[in-house]
Amino acid sequence: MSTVVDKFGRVVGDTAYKNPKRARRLLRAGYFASGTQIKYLPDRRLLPHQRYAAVISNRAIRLPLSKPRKSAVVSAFLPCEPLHAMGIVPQFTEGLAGYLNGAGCEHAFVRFAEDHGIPQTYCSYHKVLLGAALSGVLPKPALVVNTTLACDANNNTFRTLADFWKVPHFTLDVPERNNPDTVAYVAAQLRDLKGFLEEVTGGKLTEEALRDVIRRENRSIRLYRGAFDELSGKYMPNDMTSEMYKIFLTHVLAGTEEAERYFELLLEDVRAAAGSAGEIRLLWAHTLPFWQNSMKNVLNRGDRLQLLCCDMNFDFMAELDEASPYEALARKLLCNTFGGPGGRRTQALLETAKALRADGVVYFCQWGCKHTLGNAYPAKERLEGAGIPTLLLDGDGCDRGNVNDGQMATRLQAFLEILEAKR
Amino acid sequence: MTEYVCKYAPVEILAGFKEESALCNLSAAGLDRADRVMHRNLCSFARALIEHRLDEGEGVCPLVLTNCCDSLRRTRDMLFLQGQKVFLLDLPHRDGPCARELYQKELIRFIEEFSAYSGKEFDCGKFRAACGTRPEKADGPYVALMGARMSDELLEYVRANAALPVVNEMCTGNRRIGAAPSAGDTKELMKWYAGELLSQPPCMRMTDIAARRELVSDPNICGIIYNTVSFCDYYSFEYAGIAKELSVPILKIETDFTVQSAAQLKNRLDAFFETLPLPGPNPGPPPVRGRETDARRYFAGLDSGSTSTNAVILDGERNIVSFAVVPTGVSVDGSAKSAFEEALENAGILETQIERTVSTGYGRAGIRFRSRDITEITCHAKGAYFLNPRVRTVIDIGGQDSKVIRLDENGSVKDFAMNDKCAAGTGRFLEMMAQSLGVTLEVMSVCGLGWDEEIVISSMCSVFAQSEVVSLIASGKKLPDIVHGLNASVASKVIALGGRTGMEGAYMMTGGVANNTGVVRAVEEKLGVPVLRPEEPEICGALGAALVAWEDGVGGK
Repeated sequence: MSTVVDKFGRVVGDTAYKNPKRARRLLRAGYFASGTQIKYLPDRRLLPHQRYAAVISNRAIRLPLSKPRKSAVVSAFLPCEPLHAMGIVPQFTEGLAGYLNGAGCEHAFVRFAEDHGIPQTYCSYHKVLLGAALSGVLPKPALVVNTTLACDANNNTFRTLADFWKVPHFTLDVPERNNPDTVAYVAAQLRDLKGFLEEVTGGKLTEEALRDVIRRENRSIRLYRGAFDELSGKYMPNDMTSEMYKIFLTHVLAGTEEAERYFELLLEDVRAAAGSAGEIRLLWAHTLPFWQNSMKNVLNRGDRLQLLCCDMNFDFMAELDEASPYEALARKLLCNTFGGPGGRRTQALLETAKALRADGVVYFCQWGCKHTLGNAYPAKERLEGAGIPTLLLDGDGCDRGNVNDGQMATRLQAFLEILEAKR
Repeated sequence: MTEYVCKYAPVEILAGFKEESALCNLSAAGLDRADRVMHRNLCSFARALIEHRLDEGEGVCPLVLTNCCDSLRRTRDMLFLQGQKVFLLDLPHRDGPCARELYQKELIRFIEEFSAYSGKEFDCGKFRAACGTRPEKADGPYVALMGARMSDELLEYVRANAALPVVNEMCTGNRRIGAAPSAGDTKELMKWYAGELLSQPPCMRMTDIAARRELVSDPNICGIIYNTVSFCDYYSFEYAGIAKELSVPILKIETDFTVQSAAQLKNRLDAFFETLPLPGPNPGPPPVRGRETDARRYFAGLDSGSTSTNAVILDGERNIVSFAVVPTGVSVDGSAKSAFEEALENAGILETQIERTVSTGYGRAGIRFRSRDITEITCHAKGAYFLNPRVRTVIDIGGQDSKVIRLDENGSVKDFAMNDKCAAGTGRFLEMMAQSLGVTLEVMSVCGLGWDEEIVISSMCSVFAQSEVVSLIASGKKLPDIVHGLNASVASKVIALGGRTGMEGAYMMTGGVANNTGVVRAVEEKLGVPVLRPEEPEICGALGAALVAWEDGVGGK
């Protein structure tokens, strides 16, 4: 972490306890400054799609902080298409937790959350988010919407936030099974969500506006699939932060013009990339510890290493049926690789590893993510059974205070040495 | 036999198949087998369940799980991969017409699946006969058990040792299924049954938990034991809310479904039971200080801690006649004897002159010559209140644990919190750090006072913190700054612990770490008020035990 960010993080962290509104202003100013820098003085090593993602993600975080009453706090897997069709700005909370880490102040919020009874064993992304909200640093949004998909923490976190802010709250229940009955169940809830959004905001959600969003999303998906096809034979420099930004575009911003533009640029960049030439090709499961220098030194833009993709960015890549948008969104949730049995997620890793010619998979055991931790051993066994070496890497993508940095670096480097030796 | 784990499981359907069923709630002696197949940072109950079923081997009975949490979903995957028969019911997170219809279909699917598996026919009559489960109730005052599940063994201990009736309102308790309608086929019965299951008092995994308020609104509740399971995060959220709002005594414990933690949990439970009102006639007001008694009568208190064993001797007028502090050796009884003999020698009296001896601390039950034992929670509270009746919060940091104890205006324990099994925020933590820094504890006690640069030790684990300290040394940070960071870390931990009990002044620090000026100063900085520190902070527990001995001998007469 740079000295400037370190100092900034400390000031925000200290101020959060004493004067949360001032801490919020500091954060907004900090994100504005970093957004301006990314836009006008970007890191020249980044490819156009990566620069664009940095700008869009920064904006997606800043906008709800500036105009909270026009925003909805949402969970990562919520289908935000109805929100986009109504002009409601989603505040991507796990993304925000990552940004608070980027500002160097996440540990103050972790402490705040734990001091207020949030268990140490809880997901760090959610702890940071809760600490930021309960300390008064995060502004009160118009509403809170979440799904139950992929993560138990959704149930407690978003309920706590809605109770704390005293704002309307909607939970979209996503069952395990995917069959016509569950599609009908989720689609009915999505129709209820439409009524909820209209009632809370006073706006109107027309089916045509929703179809427009879905059409855009389908165009994005086609572009993205094209980029995947190209990537199997290419070497395109990548880094952990860019991969994290991509989650904004594959999730809460799916169906927006920004997402479509991003996937256009991504396809152009992959097409223009050099051919694959003996680099180690690494697939990643779960979020990435983008803040950790020891990991950055190994993974970011390595000449001999291609960080291919994290599996949150290929959890659903099918086109949606615009003729029945609610059922299409229901299927999108029910087919997600993070739902259902753990084997579904492993299968997606396996297929993608083969399609992108991955040499190995790093399965990141994020602190507090029971979904991911519980599937770790079976995933490793199955992937290695199919000839794909897999590293289980315990770590924390969001809390600096919760990692054993030296041990992580040793594990990752040893794994890469194993992959190198296999060649 | 079929096992199940959740109150939303279709137990009555199993009865409709004439299948015996049992709630599986066993603790494990160890989790070695589970740890070989599952990550450690998953719900301890799920790991104990895997351990139990892997122990059973090939003859293990079928298991019915609900889709209740990530840990149990992954448990299902794991047991399936091990070739075990596991039925999973896709339980909605909400109640309402759509959810009931979905769960009705799920229940019918389960009947078909179980029938195909067992070769048995579902009998609606048997199902009807099994319905009609009402939740436990107590007619008068009772202790409510709330939160996440507890092992059968621990539940038995609570029921056997609480002086009041115990009502199980944990996630596996409070099951409520009404009498089944007399008419209707399987489909209609399942429609009714889905409604009954989903309308039970909700567990924390359900979306709408408003009805859980009723669980704590009963005026007959005299105390709440709130249990959480390690790495199950659901219930800590509810606890954080009700701990602030309710005035009845609440004990928060965390179980890991292993038998190893039982000793510590029983210690806490015993301390909690001591704070609850006893049924029966009022024992009358406690004796007051200064009551005229024979000054030649003597009472002893012994505190057997992990680092030191302490003894205090009081006379009949509650004057401290002598005390002793000796290191705890391999024999609890031997160390207690040494401390006791040293205190006798200091007092210039004989053992035969001691009327009663009360023991406390972790080794209290191992001191054979005790008259009786009592937990250190009660003893530290008594000792601190005796030394200064203004004290409302005792912060006791000992060798292997730290405690925050809240007192009422009479010196009785209102609430308390203890650290979990982790050493962070204890004397042991400071010892480990002193080793890494190559200084003595005495040096460490004062050298952080002259700090310049604020260093935050962010690791919450002692082992990681040790690595962090080594890195700080390597990066050339100054010793006083590192020590100050460590003191602040201990202070943060213990204040966070106290945050759960709602601390208020006046504060007193007791235990061996209260001799560390740097830590006391850091606690004062974080609290923003001065903290009382007795002259001999480590003997406060023994003093409390001696006061109990005095009450037993003089106060009770």
